[in-house]
Amino acid sequence: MSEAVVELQSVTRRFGAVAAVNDVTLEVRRGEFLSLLGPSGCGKTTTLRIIAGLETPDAGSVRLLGGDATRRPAWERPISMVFQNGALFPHLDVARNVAFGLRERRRPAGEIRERVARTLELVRLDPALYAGRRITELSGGQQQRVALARALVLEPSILLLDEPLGALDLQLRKAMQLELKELNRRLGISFVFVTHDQEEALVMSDRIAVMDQGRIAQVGTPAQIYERPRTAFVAGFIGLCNIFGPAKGAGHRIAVRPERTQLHAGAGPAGSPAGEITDVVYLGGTIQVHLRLDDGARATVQLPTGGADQAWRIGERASLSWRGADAAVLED
Amino acid sequence: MSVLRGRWLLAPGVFWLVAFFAIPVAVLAGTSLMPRGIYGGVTAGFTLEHYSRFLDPLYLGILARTLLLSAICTAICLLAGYPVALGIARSGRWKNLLLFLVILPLWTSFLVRTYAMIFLLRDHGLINETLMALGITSAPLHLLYTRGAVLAGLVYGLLPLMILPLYTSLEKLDPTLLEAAEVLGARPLSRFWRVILPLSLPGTIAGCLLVFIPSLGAFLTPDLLGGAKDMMIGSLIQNQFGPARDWPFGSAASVVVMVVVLVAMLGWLRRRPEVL
Amino acid sequence: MRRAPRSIVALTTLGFITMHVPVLVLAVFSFNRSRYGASWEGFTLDWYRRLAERPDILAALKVSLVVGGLSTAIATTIGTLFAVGMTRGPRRGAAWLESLVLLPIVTPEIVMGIGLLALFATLGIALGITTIVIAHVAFSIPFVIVVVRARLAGMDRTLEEAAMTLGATGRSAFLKVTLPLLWPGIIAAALLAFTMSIDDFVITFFVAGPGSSTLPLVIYAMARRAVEPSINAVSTLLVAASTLLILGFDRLSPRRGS
Repeated sequence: MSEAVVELQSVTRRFGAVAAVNDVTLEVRRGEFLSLLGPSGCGKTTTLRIIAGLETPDAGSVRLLGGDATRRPAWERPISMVFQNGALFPHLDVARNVAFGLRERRRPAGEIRERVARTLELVRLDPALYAGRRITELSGGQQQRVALARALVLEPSILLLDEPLGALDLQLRKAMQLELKELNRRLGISFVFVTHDQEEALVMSDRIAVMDQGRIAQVGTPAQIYERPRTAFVAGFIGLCNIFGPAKGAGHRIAVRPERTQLHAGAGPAGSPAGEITDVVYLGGTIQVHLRLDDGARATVQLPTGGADQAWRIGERASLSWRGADAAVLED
Repeated sequence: MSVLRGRWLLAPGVFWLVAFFAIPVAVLAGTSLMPRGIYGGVTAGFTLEHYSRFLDPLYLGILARTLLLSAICTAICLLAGYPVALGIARSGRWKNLLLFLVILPLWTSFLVRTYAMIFLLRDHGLINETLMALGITSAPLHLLYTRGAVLAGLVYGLLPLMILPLYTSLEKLDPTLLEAAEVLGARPLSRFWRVILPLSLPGTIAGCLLVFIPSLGAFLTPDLLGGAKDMMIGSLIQNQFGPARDWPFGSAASVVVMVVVLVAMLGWLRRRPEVL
Repeated sequence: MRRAPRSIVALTTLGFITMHVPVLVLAVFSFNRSRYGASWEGFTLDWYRRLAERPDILAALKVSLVVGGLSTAIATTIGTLFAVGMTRGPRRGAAWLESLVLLPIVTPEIVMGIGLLALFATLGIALGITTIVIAHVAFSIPFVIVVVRARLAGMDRTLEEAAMTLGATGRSAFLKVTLPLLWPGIIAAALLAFTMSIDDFVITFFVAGPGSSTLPLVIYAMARRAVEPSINAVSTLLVAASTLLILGFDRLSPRRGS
């Protein structure tokens, strides 16, 4: 299962003076669900388009299924792609949209019909009902399903998805997230999924590559990314995180999640950060306590509700501690 | 508000267009059905003789030649205009300037532009003088007063009318659709046939009509650039209202042109009411 | 958007050469000293000077300007009212109105020209400046409507409604809010109408009477007789005038496709 289907080796793509993708090296393994996660402008979409063959890297190489594909055009790559807004062909009905790539590959009509129907069912669109529909007659969610079917029907080795759920409302988004994950498991196709939504990435991915300013900041499983962020950017981009400066000038900064941080009334042991409570927020399952530390930094502690052992008040002094195993040492 | 709402605003325009467009066309239709008077006008009565006269091989030949020339002109404009429209749609920051350069000839005098063709094509015009100066030919080629000259004049005059609607269609085309086709395995030529061309079909149809219709009614171009044998139906009509003084027959010929135009328009209007 | 491939760029260039070189050549040779042939024999403004000495050309210029001015004023007024009326009129009959605007645009000019000639003959109206103005107004109105409507379509109707909630009457909201916003469109339409009027040949050819020749009619008569540099000169002036007018029109029109 660890065989690589996509290998990017030191890939760089510049637009004018800006390197949208800067020296990116990344592997996608067979059958895995890998998310490219980062804020807008971090280079995640450009990376995806380089894998697709819609952009040519200025430097570095792209290998697909073990063969060099750096200069291979998109239409000769073992990939398919789902675009952000579907990019469905408005002049073709649902069935013809899905059949587009098969006709490009000159499959016999009978096979096309059968595979289109099967794939529409796979994305839960009844072929009898939808095959002849015009694209404009579909809802946003249905359009995304057709776009997905159009890509899946080709049975690609690699499926690229460029924020395919971005335009959908929250309910539908959650449902589609689970469906996509399920499809990935069932079909054994590698998914490369671009998103800026960290929660979406955590829910769906086997591995996440966090990108920042054209570079890959960290690659790892959701648990690794969450629990052991390697940079302040990763720690801050995914969930809330407290970052504490190096103790006594030496060493690295460390990151501790708010729910792994302990809060004590008054001053703690010598050297432990202390400060003043600035806000207490009740969130139902948890309580968030915000502090301004004596060195000016801010910190958040998340406590379970229902303990009722202590009522925290704004303006009181408190101090923080954590277990050594819960602290991630940052490299930057 | 009552003065500003509705009818009163429309009234002058409706009056003018009905009185000086619809009624004149109706008068033509009426004239074409009345016997010819002594001095070329009409006398009271009803007759279909002008239409039956049109069935004479001489006139059917003129009609056929007109349709053929118009069709060839439309085809040339389409073939020449498509790459230009594509080029403008992809010209980035030059787009506005190029668009202006397409619109400009549309609004400069057609007469002057036709005369410019005479200036280029005549025996001692720039083309012949250049060819002879370069030693390619020794005597002037007879370019002017030929069917080719008429065709060249029509294409030159009407090309912008093809480019504009084509450009509008191509400009609206979402580039990600081409990328989608690309990742689905479509090569460049296939992307053109299966995505660009069908999506620009409305513009193609509009452009073809906008070129075909005026070339059908052209009279200035064949008159100035064509020879005696290159008469088109526009020249025939003009002749009936000029030297030949047979208004009813000229009216019948223009009704024939109008019918061809309306048939073409109706088919198109059903699909797409927006023009220009 | 990707750049166009080289072949497209080449064909596009060729297309623009085809569309512009003939008139450019014509203009260049209006400054040529040589009376015959296509050889360049030095720069001169003689042909332009001679134009000023020709009474037929001066008279035609006057007719063209009078006809252009009158027909532009009438067509712009009527067309603007029509365009505004269409946006606030009842939906009923809209298709009929659309056809009334569209058909004159697509009707071959010669049909409109002889139709008007037949009408004027039937009514016994003598051909002259009046009939030319009537005809020019008729073919300009639809274009004025198209241009003004394009401007109106891009306008926010709620502005006028806002004015009314602020106490403006319907008429005053129109005059104080809509009309000022509409001005560029109206001016653009007027420039277009004027250009069409001074350039028109075919329709004018049929409805002009003795003594009411416009510039294009004079150019046509000259061109039928012989090729001579003064035709180049007057043609160049006409093209230069249209170019300036259309440049103004283009500046005032909403940008296509941006």
